[in-house]
Amino acid sequence: MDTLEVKNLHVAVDDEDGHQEILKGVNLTMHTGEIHAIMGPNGTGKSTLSETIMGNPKYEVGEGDILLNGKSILDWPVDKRARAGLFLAMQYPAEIAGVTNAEFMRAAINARRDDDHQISVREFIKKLDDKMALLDMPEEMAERYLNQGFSGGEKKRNEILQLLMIEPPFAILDEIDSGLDIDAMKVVAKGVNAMRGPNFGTLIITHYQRLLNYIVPDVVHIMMDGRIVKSGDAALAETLEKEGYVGLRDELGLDVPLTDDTDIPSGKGEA
Amino acid sequence: MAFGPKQLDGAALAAAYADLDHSAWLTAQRQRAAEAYSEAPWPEFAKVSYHAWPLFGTGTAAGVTYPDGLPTSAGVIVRSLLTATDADLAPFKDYLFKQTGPTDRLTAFHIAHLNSGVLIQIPDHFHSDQPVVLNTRLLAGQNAHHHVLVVVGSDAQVTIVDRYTGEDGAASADSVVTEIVVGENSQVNFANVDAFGSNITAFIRRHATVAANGVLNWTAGVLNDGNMLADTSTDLVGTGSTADVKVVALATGKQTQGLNTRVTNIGRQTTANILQHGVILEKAALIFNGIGHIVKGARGADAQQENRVLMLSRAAHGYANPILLIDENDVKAGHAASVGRVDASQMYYLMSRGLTKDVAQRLVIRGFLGAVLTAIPLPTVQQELIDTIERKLIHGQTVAHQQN
Ligand SMILES: Nc1ncnc2c1ncn2[C@@H]1O[C@H](COP(=O)(O)OP(=O)(O)OP(=O)(O)O)[C@@H](O)[C@H]1O
Ligand SMILES: [Mg+2]
Repeated sequence: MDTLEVKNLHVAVDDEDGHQEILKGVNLTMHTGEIHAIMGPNGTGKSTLSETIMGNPKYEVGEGDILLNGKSILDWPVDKRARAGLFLAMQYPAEIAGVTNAEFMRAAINARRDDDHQISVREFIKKLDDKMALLDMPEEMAERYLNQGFSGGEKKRNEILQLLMIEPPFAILDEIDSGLDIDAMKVVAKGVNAMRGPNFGTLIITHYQRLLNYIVPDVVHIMMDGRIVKSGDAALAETLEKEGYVGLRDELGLDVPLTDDTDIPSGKGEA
Repeated sequence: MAFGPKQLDGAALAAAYADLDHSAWLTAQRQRAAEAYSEAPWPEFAKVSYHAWPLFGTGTAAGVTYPDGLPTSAGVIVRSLLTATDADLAPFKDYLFKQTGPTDRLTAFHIAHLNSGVLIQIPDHFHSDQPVVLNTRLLAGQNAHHHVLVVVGSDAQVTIVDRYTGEDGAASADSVVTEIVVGENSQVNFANVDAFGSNITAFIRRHATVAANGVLNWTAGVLNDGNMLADTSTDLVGTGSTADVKVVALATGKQTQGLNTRVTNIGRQTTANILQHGVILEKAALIFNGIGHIVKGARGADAQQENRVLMLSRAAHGYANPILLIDENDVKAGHAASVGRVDASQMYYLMSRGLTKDVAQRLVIRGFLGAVLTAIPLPTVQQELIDTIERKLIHGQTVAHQQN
């Protein structure tokens, strides 16, 4: 069993308004075999958390630690973290002209293997065919340039295809359901469920409880204003769907401005 | 011999080559070039100061070999320039030194000192799936002044691959000048790959003319390691003629590569496309001058160009310099140019899947060069180019790591 721990994580970015703290002490522990979900209002720091775990150099860790199997990975560059077992399905994947999808995935698989055990073309094609069939992807997507001109939905599917090809121990899926029609969402859920098992753990970031009907999580976390404010089982997502973030905030007595705050003036000591 | 001799002694040169030349006409051409030399201007390569380069090597012995011999193809005439007699030269005389006459100092020196060359004639109506492949190896320590003429008749369709490698070893100053004639209604796919070592300083000039409704698809791979100038020019003479010129260049070490890629629209309804993609490593400099010239009377002409340079090190120098000269009103013209670095978000994305920085960088670069590489007509040549680029990139990355 592998373990990923986030301890008291504080993260800032530098933008035109100066140094801005986005994560203000996040704590989270997950193991392979578990499915976690994170929900939370826009701009609350969910993507910041995923990018920081993955090692995006734009984000600066001020305090706290990230540990993979007990070892701090904060000093590791993104590629080392990836080879150690982390995967991030990104909210906005990059487009790369001139590099085919297939050639990229083969390079990604081989990056995890030593020179004497590179995947054979035959084995690779077989695996690719299987996974693409599972995700209802047309064969020619393999020979297209990486994400170049892909529709929003195609990009999401392609992120899941990479997940299935690479088979990492831990995957963070950042809004893998956004912009998907209902059938596509089911296909993506089918892909993730195919990975489910004792050697795979995932952190699913979503705004919609609906995805969690298809991929039922073991733990649901609610994130607000840079912290995890509540954790619970799958039922928590349903409560949230009904009551919204305002209800939860007031129940917890938090001082957090929310976009649907119309009748409550945001100020100190509202609770 | 920096800056070259002030003048050339035509009579002495004629005497020196009289035994080698099998044609009196050729010897007379040398003499004419030698006489033009002292007054001829330096060829213009904007932003490249090459005057102190050792470009003026001499020697009567051939500076090249042909590892696979000269190409043979049914119906195609192939001659070696120096052993051609006046009679052998008959089909070529109307074209030889016509596009690349002794009008600049380096070409004049080249003609005066020619020590090897190949003449190829593709007849009218020629059609073949088999490419004509000419492999040429520049010898170490032996200055080559090598001239190639390819004359393609009318209504023909042909793929020609002109490939240069070099022998490592002693230094030499070489010139390679190529003339290409595309006849009416002919389609010519011409690919040249120049890949020789740092021991060779080179002046490379290739010039094509395209007759009415002719199509020239030109791909050039510029992968030399030494200082070099390469002028790749096309005149669209005939009505409705087209040139599509794609150049890929890789500059490494401390070398300077200066490239002029030019298309001149002369005839009406002519279409020109230039695409140049280059990558610079280490302390190298790469200059792309893209020159689109539409002359008066070329009504309905279209001249487009794109010049892009990627720099992989802080010490690299890159220029992408589009030059548009338009002397006619009823035309279309456009250009795009950029000099930049590898996109950080692309690198992050690739590395987030476990690719090392070096592998990710090579993949992004290969993608960047792909637009030109995929246009190379012969898969084996294409693969060879990809392999050479890969090898040079790995070498450049290794050097960069050692310096850090
Ligand atoms: N690179 C950056 N530069 C400047 N600000 C940033 C950067 N990344 C994130 N932020 C800011 O940090 C805050 C949190 O952003 P983040 O993308 O983590 O939110 P999120 O919870 O994923 O939101 P959403 O649900 O809309 O995807 C936002 O205010 C955002 O503008
Ligand atoms: Mg987000």
